[in-house]
Amino acid sequence: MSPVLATKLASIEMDNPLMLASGVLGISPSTLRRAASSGAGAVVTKSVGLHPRDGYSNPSIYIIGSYGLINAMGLPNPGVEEFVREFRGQRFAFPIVYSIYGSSPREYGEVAEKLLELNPSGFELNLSCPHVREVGALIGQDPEMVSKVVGQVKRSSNVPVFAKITPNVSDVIEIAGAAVNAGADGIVAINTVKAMYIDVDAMVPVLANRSGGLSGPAIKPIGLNAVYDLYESFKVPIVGVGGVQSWKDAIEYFLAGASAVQVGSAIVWKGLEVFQDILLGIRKYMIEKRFSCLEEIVGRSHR
Amino acid sequence: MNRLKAFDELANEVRVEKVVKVTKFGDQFSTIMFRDEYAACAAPGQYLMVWCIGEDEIPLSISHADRRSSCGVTVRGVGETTRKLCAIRVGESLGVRGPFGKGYRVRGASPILAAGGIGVAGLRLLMYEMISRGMAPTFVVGSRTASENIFHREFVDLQNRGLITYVPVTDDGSLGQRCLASQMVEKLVHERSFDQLYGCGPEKMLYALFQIAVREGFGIQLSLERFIKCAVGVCGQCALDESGLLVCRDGPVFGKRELLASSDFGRFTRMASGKKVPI
Repeated sequence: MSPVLATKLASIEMDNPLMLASGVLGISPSTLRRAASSGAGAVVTKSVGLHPRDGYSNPSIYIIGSYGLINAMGLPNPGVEEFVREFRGQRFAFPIVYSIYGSSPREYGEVAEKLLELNPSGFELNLSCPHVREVGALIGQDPEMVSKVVGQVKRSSNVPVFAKITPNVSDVIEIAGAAVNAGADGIVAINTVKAMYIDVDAMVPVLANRSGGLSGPAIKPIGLNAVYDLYESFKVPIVGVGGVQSWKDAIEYFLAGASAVQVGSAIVWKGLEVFQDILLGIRKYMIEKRFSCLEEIVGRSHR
Repeated sequence: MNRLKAFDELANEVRVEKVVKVTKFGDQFSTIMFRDEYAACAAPGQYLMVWCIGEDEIPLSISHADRRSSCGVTVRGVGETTRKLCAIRVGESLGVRGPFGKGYRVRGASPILAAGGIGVAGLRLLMYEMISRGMAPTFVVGSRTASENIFHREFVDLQNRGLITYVPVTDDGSLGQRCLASQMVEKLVHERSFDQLYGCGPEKMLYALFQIAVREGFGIQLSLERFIKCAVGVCGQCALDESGLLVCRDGPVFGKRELLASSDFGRFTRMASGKKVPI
């Protein structure tokens, strides 16, 4: 018997537990389709806000060897109206989760309402983008604000809402708790870790924004620990994100308690083939360990 | 479809390099030479992300590469960053990462190259690659005016040595015929037979070249320009609809099939915010 990789996240039915992470490729219907046809079971769009934003100037990305990527894109997006105009009328054969950012609970709510026209499979709230002053960081680090934002978006629709948690806090449980109590249908952990790179010849931080968010293999242990702790505390599904590059990384997240994992920076090093490679490895692992479905693995390390 | 392959991770990192030579062509154009082993081994058509320290980081075609350590980019000062780069002096530093992207593949026996404006920079390297393989390419170089055809003397010299057929054209008729590069290509394809067309320049010109190549049935490789942020295929800013191909990593050089599949080619580009606008 071939193991079943299909998974259900709140009400989202996915062919497999791999998702394209927000901020990666998801700028247009065509790039989302490309990620899905490469093997992603669901995709998350780039974060969309109420108004257009150009983002920061370059250098907006710095790659450290094979283990880390620091980015400070600065949430470039055409604004929700233009975004909806481009997605309107498009048909997709896979679930799309729309990522939302805002500077106030009201803004998150407004963006969510405007996105409803696209019949979203889910909303992911970017509470945590650590490199945009005034936006993300303040909200994701303040339990009260997190609660208000989640509550506002929940009131706007029946679409499942996922809160994406920043690791740049002293206690992720407190923040996630605020989201869950406000009605979040799931938790996505973690967003990037605040970071900097300084070039010794140029003698300045390389990124135009000076600091940015670290992703890639370097942050996997941090994400794994967050997922493990969240699983102990909450019943809602958890999506693991941070440094997933191989089947082993994905399985570690499942064992820690994630029902699905997101893949982003891995595309830099592995290309879009990374989705198929991970799926193949998960299947092999499940056959070898005689697992018939993912639920048997999720959270198993807590026994 | 899934041609986002893994690549050399060391080339991704920023290297800060000292400028060893600057050749100025008037006050608008400069060729900036430096030493960098990765860039020196670049394939024609590949590009570097060049960081003007303290300023922006921009994609630039590699115009010079000796396959050992010496390499260079040629820049036209049109914006704030390119003007600063144009004015860079020997001994000063710039940051580079790359080379990135898929360059030109040398194919066929009788190639024709067509450059518009600063597009000549990337095609220059391709031309030398062809010469080293014993091919004698025809090179149509279009510029607004004679002084903006920056490699003119170098190309005349190559023509005199029988290595290329060089056809300069200008918008104002100050050098060669007064016509667009694509119009000259149109004329030449009726006079001689070619089997492969290579182009770099404004997209309207590339689109005209594309139509010629499709009609004539020969191969085509065009270098497209889009807003490039990450250069490593993750930010999606340079994506082409409907294929979702990324100019930064799947390109910048695309072949006929990829261009046919792109509804954006010749029509739409994306601004910094990702908003799609007509070209």
